[in-house]
Amino acid sequence: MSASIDSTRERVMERRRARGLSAFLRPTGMWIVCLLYVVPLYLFVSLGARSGDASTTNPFGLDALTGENFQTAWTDGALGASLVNTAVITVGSLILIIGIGAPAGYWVARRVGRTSRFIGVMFLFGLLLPIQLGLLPLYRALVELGLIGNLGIMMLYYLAQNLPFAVFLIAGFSRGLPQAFEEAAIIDGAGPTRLFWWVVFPLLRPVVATIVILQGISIWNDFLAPLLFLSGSGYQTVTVSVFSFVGEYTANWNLVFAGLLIAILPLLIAYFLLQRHIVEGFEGGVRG
Amino acid sequence: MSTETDQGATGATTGLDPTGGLGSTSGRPLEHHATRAITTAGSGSKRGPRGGGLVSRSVLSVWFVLPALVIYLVFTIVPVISGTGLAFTQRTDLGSPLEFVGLDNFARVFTDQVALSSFGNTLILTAIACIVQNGLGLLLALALHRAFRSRTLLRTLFFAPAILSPLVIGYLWQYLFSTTGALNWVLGAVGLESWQRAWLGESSTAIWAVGFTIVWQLVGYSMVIYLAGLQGIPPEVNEAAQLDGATAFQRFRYVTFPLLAPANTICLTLSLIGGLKLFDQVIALTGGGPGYATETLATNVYKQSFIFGDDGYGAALAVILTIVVTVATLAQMWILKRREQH
Repeated sequence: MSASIDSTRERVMERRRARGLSAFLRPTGMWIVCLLYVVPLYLFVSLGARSGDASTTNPFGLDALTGENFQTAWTDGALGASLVNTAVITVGSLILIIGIGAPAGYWVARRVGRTSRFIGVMFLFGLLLPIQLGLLPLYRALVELGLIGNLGIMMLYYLAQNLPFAVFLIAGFSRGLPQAFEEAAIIDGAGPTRLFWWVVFPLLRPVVATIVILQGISIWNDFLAPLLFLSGSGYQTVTVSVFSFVGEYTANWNLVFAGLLIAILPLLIAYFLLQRHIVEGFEGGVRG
Repeated sequence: MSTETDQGATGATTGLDPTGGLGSTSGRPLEHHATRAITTAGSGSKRGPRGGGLVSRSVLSVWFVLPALVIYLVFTIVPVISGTGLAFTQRTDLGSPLEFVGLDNFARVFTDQVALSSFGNTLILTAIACIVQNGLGLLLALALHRAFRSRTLLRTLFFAPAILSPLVIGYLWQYLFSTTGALNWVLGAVGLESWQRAWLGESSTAIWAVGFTIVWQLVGYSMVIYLAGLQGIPPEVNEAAQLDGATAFQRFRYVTFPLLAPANTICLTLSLIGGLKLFDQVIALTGGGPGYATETLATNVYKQSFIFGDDGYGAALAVILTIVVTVATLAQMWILKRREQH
């Protein structure tokens, strides 16, 4: 009896010792993996701040520091205007997605009947559709109507693209909410608008935050749609500007990196400030 | 006055005049609503997911869903249907109108070397995303799950590329892999000149370089999802297995991994869809080259439709892409959901 307890204790102790070793190895291995991320990041930042052909002659050094690349990239790449356009499109799209997608998701969850179930499935199907299939007809139609280069159209496009996921998440979340609040509000005489925006919407906050983070990042980073739908217009988003900028200065990596750095800076700053919320947002999308 | 007290008991908080408000919302007598609300107030949360009841009947107007529906139809469904129609048409001459040609465009895929190659490449890259990205993501999550001091910092670092534009990450690695880039510079510096090559310029290495870049960017995404899954596993389960004498590997194989099934489903689904639709990274890294060594389904569709102006053929490829994505996703979700239940 006591022998078996002893042997169990021994085994646990043995494991403790083994863990002692792995407790050393794990962080060490981690730091090696870490280098795979730190080194490219270091090059990204340092090369943009160095002049001439530093990227090819001595990529890891820290000589020939200059702010000139950033200045050239800012003016030649028209990055300031692009960042403003991207911000306007992203914020506008998100307002539309929440303003229109949230009531729709709630309706799909709460409305009883075959119609609402059919509409729910239709939105669900949209999660699978690759944009490529509808892109050409949509592009032709917009050219025909003279709507290429219209920021409002861009927002409506993103609204349509992101509705399926928003409706899906909000419907799923709404189903888990108790109906007591809503029923009480109805007894109190709240109309549909008041019921949704004053009673239900505040309860949807976690899932709305998830949508804002996930879809905000994907809209900000989107490339193909603005490349097509804003082509030839004065309005460009930051990814499209980066695309043409790299095409123009293809061999001059120091200049290219300065441009790329300006392009990603707003998102990078937001990430480091709101890191916890952003990670939670991604996890929230997962649970939904 | 007494009505107000009743209201308080049912949990009403808005304090509107009940009679006037209800009268304008629906024609039903107040008593009926009040009784219903009282009898259901406590059990409201226990109702089935579709038991809309009072909410469904009284206030949910069609205006909740109509704007979303219209936008979705105009900007997604109609273009998709019209694109599918295009797939069955072709021009006889440059500039002539589109004519119905049946399945010709689809038949052409089987003799088109570029299309076939783009299938193979997409398959390879999707497999890399599903297996390597998620496998390494899981390893990182397991390593970071046990608390040690640098954990938060490392999580922040590994996840950072996942939120950045795939295009920008593609350009970063285009430089690192370029003939005069950092990777070749390092190889030269440590005396491995014979290993130096144009990583993105040779067909044999280009596809693997693209795969590497995708894993590098998105492994943090998988890691975050697995970490969320690991946090949902109570530590007692593992401790019990440990006391029963299970080795670390056994504990992972029979305890942790099965409990991670939901996270696994999500990771695999995301990388499957992402892999099949891969576009931005390829455009930034290689543009599909050298030749068509890294062409994917998505880049090929784009080129046929918007660069070569071959509407019908581009649309046919897009239809195939859609079918592949839909079938693969549904099949995978079905398989994984079944495994989750076991």
